[in-house]
Amino acid sequence: MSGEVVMARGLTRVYQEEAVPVHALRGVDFSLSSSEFVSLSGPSGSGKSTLLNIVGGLDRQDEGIIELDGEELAPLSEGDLAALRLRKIGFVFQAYNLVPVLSALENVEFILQLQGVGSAERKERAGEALKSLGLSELQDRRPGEMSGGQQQRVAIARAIVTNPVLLLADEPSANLDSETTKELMELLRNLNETQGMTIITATHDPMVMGYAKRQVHLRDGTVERDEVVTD
Amino acid sequence: MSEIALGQKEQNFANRTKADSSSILLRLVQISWRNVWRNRRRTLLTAGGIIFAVWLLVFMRSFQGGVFAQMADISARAMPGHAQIQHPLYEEEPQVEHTVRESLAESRLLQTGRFDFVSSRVQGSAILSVGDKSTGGFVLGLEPKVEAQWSGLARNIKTGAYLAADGEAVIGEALARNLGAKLGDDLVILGTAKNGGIAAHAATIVGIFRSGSTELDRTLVQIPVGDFREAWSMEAEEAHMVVGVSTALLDSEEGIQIARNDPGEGVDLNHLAWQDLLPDVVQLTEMKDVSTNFMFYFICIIVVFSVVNAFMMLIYERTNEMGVLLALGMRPHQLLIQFQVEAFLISSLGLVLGFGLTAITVWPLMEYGMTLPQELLESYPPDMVAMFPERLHPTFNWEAMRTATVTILLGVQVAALIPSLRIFGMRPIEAIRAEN
Repeated sequence: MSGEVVMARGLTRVYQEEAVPVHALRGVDFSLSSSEFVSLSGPSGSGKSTLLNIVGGLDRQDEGIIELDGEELAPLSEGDLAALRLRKIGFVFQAYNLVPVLSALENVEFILQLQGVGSAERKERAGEALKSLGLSELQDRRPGEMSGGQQQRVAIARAIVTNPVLLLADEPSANLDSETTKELMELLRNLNETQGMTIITATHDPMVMGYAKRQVHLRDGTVERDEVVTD
Repeated sequence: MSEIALGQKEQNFANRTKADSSSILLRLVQISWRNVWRNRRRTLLTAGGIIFAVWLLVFMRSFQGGVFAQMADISARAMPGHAQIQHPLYEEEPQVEHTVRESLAESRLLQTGRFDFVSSRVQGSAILSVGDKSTGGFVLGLEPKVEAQWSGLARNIKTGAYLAADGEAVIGEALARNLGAKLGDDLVILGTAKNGGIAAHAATIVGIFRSGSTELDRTLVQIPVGDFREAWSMEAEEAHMVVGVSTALLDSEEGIQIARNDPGEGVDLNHLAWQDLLPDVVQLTEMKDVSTNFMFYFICIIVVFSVVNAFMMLIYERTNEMGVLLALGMRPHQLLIQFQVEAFLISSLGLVLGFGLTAITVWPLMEYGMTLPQELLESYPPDMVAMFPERLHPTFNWEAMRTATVTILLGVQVAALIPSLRIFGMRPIEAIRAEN
C-alpha cells in the first residue's frame, strides 16, 4: 500500500505577533505516502510544528493546498475538520494530555465513544490497544497514578485505537528520559512496520529522528533537507 | 478501496455517531461528576453559598409561615372566627336592621363540612354604666356555650368566669377599671333598638377578661345572644353574623374559597374569610414574606456571581485540556454540555444539602416548637405580640422549596453558561498551548 496520505503544495503561514508578521512557512511542498515514518526536525521557529498542525487540521494555511487522504482541508468548516480529525488522525502530544479524571481504559475508550462505537466493541478495542502496548495491568489507573512513559503509551493507545490513516506525534519524547524515549520509539517503529501505520513526528531529539525512515529538516519556514534514511 | 466502499464507511460512521449520542451524554455526566471533585474546596464553597440561600429562604418562610398561621388562628379565635356570613350591607353599614336569618347562614357554613363550630352573633354600640360611672362601649351578643369551646377571649378571663347563663356579662379589664366595676356589679346597657326605641338591659358582671387588644379591653361587653335580641327588639332568628371556626380551614385554600364564594341559593349573603376579617395579619404576613424574599434573591445574586467566577477560573484552568479534546475531535457543544452538567451537579449538591440542613433545623422545631427571641418580638406590633402563644411551631414551606429549587437551578445554569460560551471561540491549537 503506497497511496498518498498527505499532499501539500506551496504552504504558507504567516502569524501576526504584535503587528510584526512572522513567516512560519514559506511555500512548503511536502507529501507523504502510506506507511511512511517521517520525522520533521529543525530549530525552534523553523516551522515544523506549524506544518504538523496544518497537516493535522488544527491550523489553516494562508496560501497553498493541503490534502489529507485525498480530501482538501481548506474548504472544510471547523465542524468538518473536527470530524475529520476524529476519523482519520491520531494525535500524540508532548505533555500526554490525557483526561485526568478518566482511567487509562476510559481515556482510550472515550475517543471511540466520540466516534459512536458501541459499548462492547469499544471496551474490546480499547482493551486490545492497551494490551498491545503492555498496559493491561494499568488500565484502571488514572493519569496521575502513572509515570510519564506510561501516560505517553496510553496516549499512543488512544491515538491508534481508531485505526487512523495518520499518526501525528508532536515532540513525543520532550518529557521523557532517554530509556523511556527509546521504548516509546520502538513502539512507534513497531506500529509502523507491523501495522503499516503512517507516522509523522516533530522533534528536536536526534534519538527520535533516528527511528524515522525519512527525515525532513526545516529551517526558516522552508524544507532544507528531505532525505530517506537507509540502514 | 473503491469510492463506493469509502462512501459506505462514512455513512456507517455518521449513523454510529447519531446512535451513540446517549452513551456520550452518560460519559459526559461521568466526567462532569469527577470534575466536580477535582477542586473540592471550590465546589464546596460554591455549594455552601447555595446551601445557605436555600436554608435562609425555606427556614425563614417555614418559620414565618408557622408563626403567621398561629397568629392568624389566635387572632381569628380572639374575635372574628375563621369565616363569617353577614347581611350584604352589614360590612359597609353596620346597622342593627342589617341582619341575616340564623338558620340559613348557619346551614351555609355547616354544609361546607369544614367548620368545627358555628354560632350566631348580634352586636351594637351602647352606653355602659356601673353605679354613677358611664362610658361608651360595644356590646356583643353571642352563644356562650359554643363560643366557650373555641374563643380565645373566653380563655382569657382574668377574674371570675365566662358567661354561663342569661343575665350575665363579661367585660374588658380596662373597661372595668374605667367604670370602677367588679364582679357581681350590675352593668346597665343602653342602646338604640331595632325599632328605633331604647334598648335597655341590665346584667351582672361575672367575668373580666384581658384579650391583649387595648381596643377590646377598653370597649367590649359580651352578653348572651338572647338577652341582646330581647333588649334590641330583634326576632329570635335574626343575627348580624354567623361565625364559623375551623383550624383546618387556615391551611386550606379550598375551604377559604368555599367560605368566600358560596353563591347561596338565591339569597344574597356576604361571605368573609379570615383573610377579609384580619387584613392587618395578612398585610404583616406579606410584608415579612417580601423582606425574606428580598434577602433570598440578594443571596442568589451573590451565588450567581460566585458561580460565574468559579466557572471562569475553571475554564481558564482547563483551557489546555479543552484544546486537546477539541483537537481529538470533540465538539464545542459537547464541552458546553459537560460544563452545564457540572453546574447542574453543583447546584443539585447545594440544593440537596440545603434541604437536608433545612429539614434537620425545621423538623425539631415543628415538633417541639420554640420561643421567640425578644429582638424578633419587638419587630411586631404589641397587640399582636400579646396574641402569640408561648411556643411557636414552624410549618414546612413547600412553596419556598419550589421557589429555591427553580431559582437556584436556573441561576446557576445561566451563570455557568456565560463563561462557558468562550468554548465556541476557542481554537484547539491555541488552547493546547495555554499555560495552566
